[in-house]
Amino acid sequence: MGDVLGSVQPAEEFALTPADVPRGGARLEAIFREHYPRIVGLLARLTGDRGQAEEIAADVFSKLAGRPLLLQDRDDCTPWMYRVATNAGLDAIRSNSRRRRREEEAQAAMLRSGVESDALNEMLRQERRARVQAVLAALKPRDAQLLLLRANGLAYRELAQTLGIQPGSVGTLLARAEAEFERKFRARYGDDV
Amino acid sequence: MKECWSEGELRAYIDRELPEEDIHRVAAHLEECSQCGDLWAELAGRADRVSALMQVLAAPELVVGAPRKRLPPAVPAWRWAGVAAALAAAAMIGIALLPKHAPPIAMAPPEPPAVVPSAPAPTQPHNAVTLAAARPSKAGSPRRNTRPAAPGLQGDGPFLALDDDPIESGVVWRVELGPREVPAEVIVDSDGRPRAIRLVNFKPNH
Repeated sequence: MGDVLGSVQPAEEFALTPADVPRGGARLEAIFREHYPRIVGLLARLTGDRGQAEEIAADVFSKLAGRPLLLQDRDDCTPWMYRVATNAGLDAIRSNSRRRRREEEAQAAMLRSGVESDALNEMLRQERRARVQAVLAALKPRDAQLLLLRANGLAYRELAQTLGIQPGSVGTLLARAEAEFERKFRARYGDDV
Repeated sequence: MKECWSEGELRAYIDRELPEEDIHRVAAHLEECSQCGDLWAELAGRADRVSALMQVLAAPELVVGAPRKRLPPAVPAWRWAGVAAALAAAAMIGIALLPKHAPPIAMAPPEPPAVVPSAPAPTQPHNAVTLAAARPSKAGSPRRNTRPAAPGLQGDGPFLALDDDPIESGVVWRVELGPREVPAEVIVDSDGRPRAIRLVNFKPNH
C-alpha cells in the first residue's frame, strides 16, 4: 500500500468513547444521543434557524459536560437541559428581532417594487411566525417548553419526564399554557388567532 | 362514580392521553353534562388554534438526527483496501492479457456504465472528486476533467466501477499493487468501501 491522497474521517470518528474521555463521558454521550435531535428540533422550531438551533444545542451540551454532578442524576439533568435550551432559544428570539425587522423592511421594499409575486405570502408567513415567537418569548419558560415540546409530538409521559413534572399534571399545565398563550396573542394582535 | 372531570383531565382526554377506561367514562359523561361539554369544547377549540399557530413554526428542514454512533467497522478499512488491491490486480492482469491496441475503456462493463470523475468544484479539496455516471450513449467517450488535474490525480483512463451502486462522492487513494508496486488510484466512499479503481501510468507491455 502506498500514499493516501485523502483520508476518510467521518464525523463519528470523533465521537466520544469511554476509552478517550474522562468518567462521565459515556453518560454524556448517551444523553447526547437521546436528546440532541429533540432539543435541536425544539430550538429550530423556536428560532426558525436550524444552524442557530444546532449552535445553541451544542452550547447546552457543552455546559452539561462541565457539570459532572448534574450528569450523575439523569432525572435532574434532563429538565435542566431543556430549561437551558429553551431559555437560550428565547434569548435568541429576542436578539433576532432586530435582524428580523431589517429583513421585513427589505421584503416590503421588494413588494413595493413588484419584483416578487410570492413575496407577499412569504412575508405573511414570516410575520405570523414572528408573532408566535414573540408570544412564546413572553410566556413563562415552562409554558413555552410545554407548548414547543407538545408541538414536537412528545406524549404526556415524555413531557413529564422531560420537564420534571408529575404525569398527572401535564393536562392541567398544558391547558393553562395554551390559555395563557392565546390570551397574550389576542392582547398583542387582536382576534387574529 | 365521578361527577365532573377536571380541566386537566379533559385536556388529556382531547389528546387521548387518559387510560382507555377513563376515555370511555369521559365520553359518556360529556353526553350528559353540559358544563363539562362546554369546557371540553372550549379546551378543544383552543388546543386546535394554538396547535395551528405552533405549526407556523415548523420548518421543512427541521428533521435532524444525532451523529451516528461510531460503529465498529464490519470490515476494517485496510481490508477493503486489500480487496480493492486484489480487484485491481485482477484488472491489471486482464489488461495485460489484452491486445496492445485495446483501449482501457474496454475493461469497463457495459452495465453499469463506466464511472468517470467530473470536474471538481472550485471549493473542493484537490483530492475530493465528485462522480457522475456516464450516459450509456457516451460510454465510449466518457466526459473528461477539463481542468488541469491536481498533482497525484492524473490517471490514464476512466475509473472501473467495482459495483453497480451509483457513487455520489468519494476520496481518491493512491495505492500500489503487488510486488511490482503498480500505482493505482482507488475511490473510497464515506463508508470506507472502495467503489472504483484505475491504474496510473500503467503500461501493460512493461
